[in-house]
Amino acid sequence: MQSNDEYLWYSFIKGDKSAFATLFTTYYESLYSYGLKISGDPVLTKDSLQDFFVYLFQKRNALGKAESVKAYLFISYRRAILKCVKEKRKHTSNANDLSTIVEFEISAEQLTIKQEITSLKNTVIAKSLNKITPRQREVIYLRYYNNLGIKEIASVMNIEYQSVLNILQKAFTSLKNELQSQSLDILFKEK
Amino acid sequence: MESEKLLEALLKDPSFKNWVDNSNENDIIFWNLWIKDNSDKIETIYIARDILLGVKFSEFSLPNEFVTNEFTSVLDRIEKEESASEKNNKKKFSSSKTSSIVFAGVLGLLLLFVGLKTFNTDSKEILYKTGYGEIINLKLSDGTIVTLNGNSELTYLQKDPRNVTLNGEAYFKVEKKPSTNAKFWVNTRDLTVEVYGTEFNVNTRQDETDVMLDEGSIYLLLKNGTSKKMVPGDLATYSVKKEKIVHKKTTENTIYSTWRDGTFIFNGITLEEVMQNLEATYGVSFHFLNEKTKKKIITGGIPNANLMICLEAIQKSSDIRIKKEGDTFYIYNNQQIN
Repeated sequence: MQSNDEYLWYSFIKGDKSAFATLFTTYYESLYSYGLKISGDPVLTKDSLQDFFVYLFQKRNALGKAESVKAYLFISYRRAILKCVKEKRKHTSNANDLSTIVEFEISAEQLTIKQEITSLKNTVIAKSLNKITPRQREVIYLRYYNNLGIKEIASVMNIEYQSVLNILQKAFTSLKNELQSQSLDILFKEK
Repeated sequence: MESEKLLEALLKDPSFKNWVDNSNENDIIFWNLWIKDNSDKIETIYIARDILLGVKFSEFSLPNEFVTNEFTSVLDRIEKEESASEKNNKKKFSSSKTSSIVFAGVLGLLLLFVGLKTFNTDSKEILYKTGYGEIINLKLSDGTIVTLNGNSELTYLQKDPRNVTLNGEAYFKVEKKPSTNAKFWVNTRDLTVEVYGTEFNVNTRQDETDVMLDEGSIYLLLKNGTSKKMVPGDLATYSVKKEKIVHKKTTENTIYSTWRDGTFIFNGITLEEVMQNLEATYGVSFHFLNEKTKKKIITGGIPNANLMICLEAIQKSSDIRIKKEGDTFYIYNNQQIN
């Protein structure tokens, strides 16, 4: 997969349009879903993603070798959509701090029940997930929904490797406490 | 600080992951003992386990038309802006016409991509399909270049672009992978072509598979279990039905790979063979009104981009007349009519 991505990226930079089509179809949905999480606005997500792909194609000659194509696309698109969100909210609030505009709500429908745990309702997990900070939610989302590694998450969110680990640790500690307080410690059942 | 180091080490340790997944007897025993001896670190151990187990999300999916529409819009915008910059700088882009043809092709491909997308991207099947008379150039993700002739189909799994299946005709320029010595396979219903890096043509049209080798060397793994080595200039034909391999040297400029340049070059083959070729490429059918006409020998190059131009050229060079009635083209001998 990794080396396939490398060839794909190389062909794309050379101007190969079927490589561009492959990039588009491979990553469109996950980028869209990520953008929607950040902005909460389907129209803005769609428009910014269209701009992003046009920009990507036109600037392909200036792009370098991507260590991870997926992480590269997430980093660049995150930057692009945050700019749009900021622009849009300029008039409605004084949101210069990004953490206040990125909500990262997670709904129960987005979760699937883990193999043997049937008695724990998705609504309960979703409720607990929404009680942790948006930043913690974003890390969880990138890690488990998009399957990015810790190093990749660090570069997407522009934070240190160690910070990602800390956030994960805090997120799961709060999740555990939250679930325990509802006496539903089934997700983290003792071995 | 100590616990942070431990957490990082546990997350990176495959044997710890095995303990979490309950998957390796030795690892389970080891970690259970280790935990007993390190009960003061139990909090960190459980956090590491929870991080590895994670939270499972269901797949998010958009309607196919939505993705296709968005891709069309993106291509439209790119094209518009390209042609705008072209006006400013005419010399720089001289091939705007071909670029829009490529775009149309890419769009067609995309429809297939989207249509075939499955849950797991690794096992996603990729299909390239050409219409009658349409020739497309592809670059697979491993760098191999494939020219797919009209009315042909090439499929492979996204995770494995060096193992393709062909139905129809294609010319392959396989990228060599010296570092890994990775092979490349083309599968047809009759045989498998196995190569390292080379240039060759494969045609599965007439209930048999023809392989013509231009460069390098390749092995044919026949469906009957035997194998055959080929050297440049060889043309091998095998059919499961006939269970017979024909191995011969090609003469210069045979029909076998010249189709790529937009010309069929016929070097002394019969009109019947020429027409079979056109039937396969354009999906039409021909009917000879005179058996003798079938045996007429054709020599020369014929443009193959357009069926009508192609037929016009054949009529002129071989003293026959072709008339279309319904879905069939009837072939008359010129003397027959007069």
